[in-house]
Amino acid sequence: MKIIITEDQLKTAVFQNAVDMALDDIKQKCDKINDLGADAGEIISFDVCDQLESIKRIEIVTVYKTNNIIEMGLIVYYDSIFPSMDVGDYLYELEHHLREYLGKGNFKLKLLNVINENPRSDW
Amino acid sequence: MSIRFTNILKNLIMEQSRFQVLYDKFVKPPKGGRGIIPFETLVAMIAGDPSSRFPDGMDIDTIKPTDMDRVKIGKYTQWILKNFITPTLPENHPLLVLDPNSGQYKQALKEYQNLFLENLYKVTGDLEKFERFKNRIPQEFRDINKLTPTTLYDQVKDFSMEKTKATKDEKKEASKTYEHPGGKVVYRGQDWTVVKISDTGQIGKDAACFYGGSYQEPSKGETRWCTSSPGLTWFDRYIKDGPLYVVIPNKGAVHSGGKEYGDVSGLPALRYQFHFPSNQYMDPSDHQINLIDFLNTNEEGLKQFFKPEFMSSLTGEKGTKVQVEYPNDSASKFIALYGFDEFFDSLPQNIQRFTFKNSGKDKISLNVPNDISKFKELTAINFVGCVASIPESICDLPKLQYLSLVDNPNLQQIPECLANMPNLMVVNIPGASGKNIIPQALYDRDNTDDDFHIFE
Repeated sequence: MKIIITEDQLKTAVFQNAVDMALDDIKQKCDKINDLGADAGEIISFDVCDQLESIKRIEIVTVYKTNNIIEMGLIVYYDSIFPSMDVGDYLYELEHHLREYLGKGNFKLKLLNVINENPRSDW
Repeated sequence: MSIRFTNILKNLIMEQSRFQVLYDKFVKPPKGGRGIIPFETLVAMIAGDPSSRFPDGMDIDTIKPTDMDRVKIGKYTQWILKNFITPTLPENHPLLVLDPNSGQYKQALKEYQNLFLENLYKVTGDLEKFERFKNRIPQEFRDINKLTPTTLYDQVKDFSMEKTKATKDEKKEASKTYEHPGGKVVYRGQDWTVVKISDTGQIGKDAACFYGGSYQEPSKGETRWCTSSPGLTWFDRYIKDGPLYVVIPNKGAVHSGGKEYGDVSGLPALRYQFHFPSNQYMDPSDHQINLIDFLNTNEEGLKQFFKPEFMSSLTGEKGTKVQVEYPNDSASKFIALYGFDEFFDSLPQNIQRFTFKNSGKDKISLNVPNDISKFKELTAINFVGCVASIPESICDLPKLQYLSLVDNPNLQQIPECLANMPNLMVVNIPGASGKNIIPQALYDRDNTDDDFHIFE
């Protein structure tokens, strides 16, 4: 069993892939909610589903393993006329869906930045 | 009887002679002259009449006058000919003001006739509407001989030929045969009949209303299915995701309220409606039934009939992710009805993600079949509370990156060859520590490969 005490940046690709799959899962569930309303099996917050439109991608930029916990540093890119966005609920949902691939309690998400890519967000 | 036969004979003679009359009048050249129109144009006029009937397989481009004996000339042919040869024209139309002997007149006539032939298909469509909706046209416009193609169009332009409602007779007949426009009988068994409603338009909604008894409640022998409510839009919401199946017994049956047949539809009071995409299998009171019990205790044909429909609901929207939420979703019902091995066989080979979550109280212990190796595109496997063993053949999945085996108390040691899978990056087996489930080779790789992680 490997226990890494020192911080060591790991390759991000493995975790980027897991994040992308989890985002895809969220999107599919939101589409289902859109179609079936309360009849959709699993319910995701309407706010999160609304934010899907604006959030373009989530990029994993750093990955460290400390005491057998993976810490993923991420940047959220969005496109909106609003200058800021609260992505707390969105990341909560992402963390929940990531468990399917990485397991529960094995990782932490660390929000490094939220960047608006819309050039006209300061009107 | 003899009178009827005489009438038929008279009609036959008249139809035959009708062509001869038209041919003699318009096509046959008088002595030393030319006919008014060519034979091909006459045929085009006859074909433009929606009430004309040509024998199957007859090619109107190569038809000869002798073949016309077999053609039934429609009742609008003469009207079309009249409007072609002696049209009612607007004031100042060139054909009214030019000298009939001038070259300009001949040119204008040729242009008019070419345009008429070009637009003949529109006249045909308008005549079809006229025939169908004549009783809804103002009385003074119901005589075709008082109309021109232009005024005919004005009278029928707001009607649509698309059928939107079944007639009273069709509904009455459907209460016996279960065949209502918009619905299709797709299975007839010894005890049950299944009707499929796929049409997303008005005729489909009309069918859903009929089979549900227009939301008239079980006390009247009908149903509470929201899709059967004529004034609401629930039908539209469901049908866009997939067809509705109505399962009807072949003879009268009581659901509640003591009625064997519905007051409105005339269908047996006991009937069910299935919608696979939303995992709804409803009785007349709009309550979920135990589908597995229902299909296992009724005729076998019914169970086999629904198998393909279950299979199509096994993969997600993109068809590459299989998610089983045992024991509640459609896929779980498939497994309960047809078995896990058959479920496995039914999955498309291009799936990329496979999740099987057992959220029931009882743990199940499935042995993952050897042929899991056929899913060469699989990148992620997530088995929660459901597996007892993983075969060696899992190592033949070249793209597998994530293997998550959560809460499987009966899980035996996972294959050692997993350590040699180049793309495998995460093995998540919480609770495995100290149980010898993870081979040493995987720990060795975990110690040497920074991209490989075991979570236990």
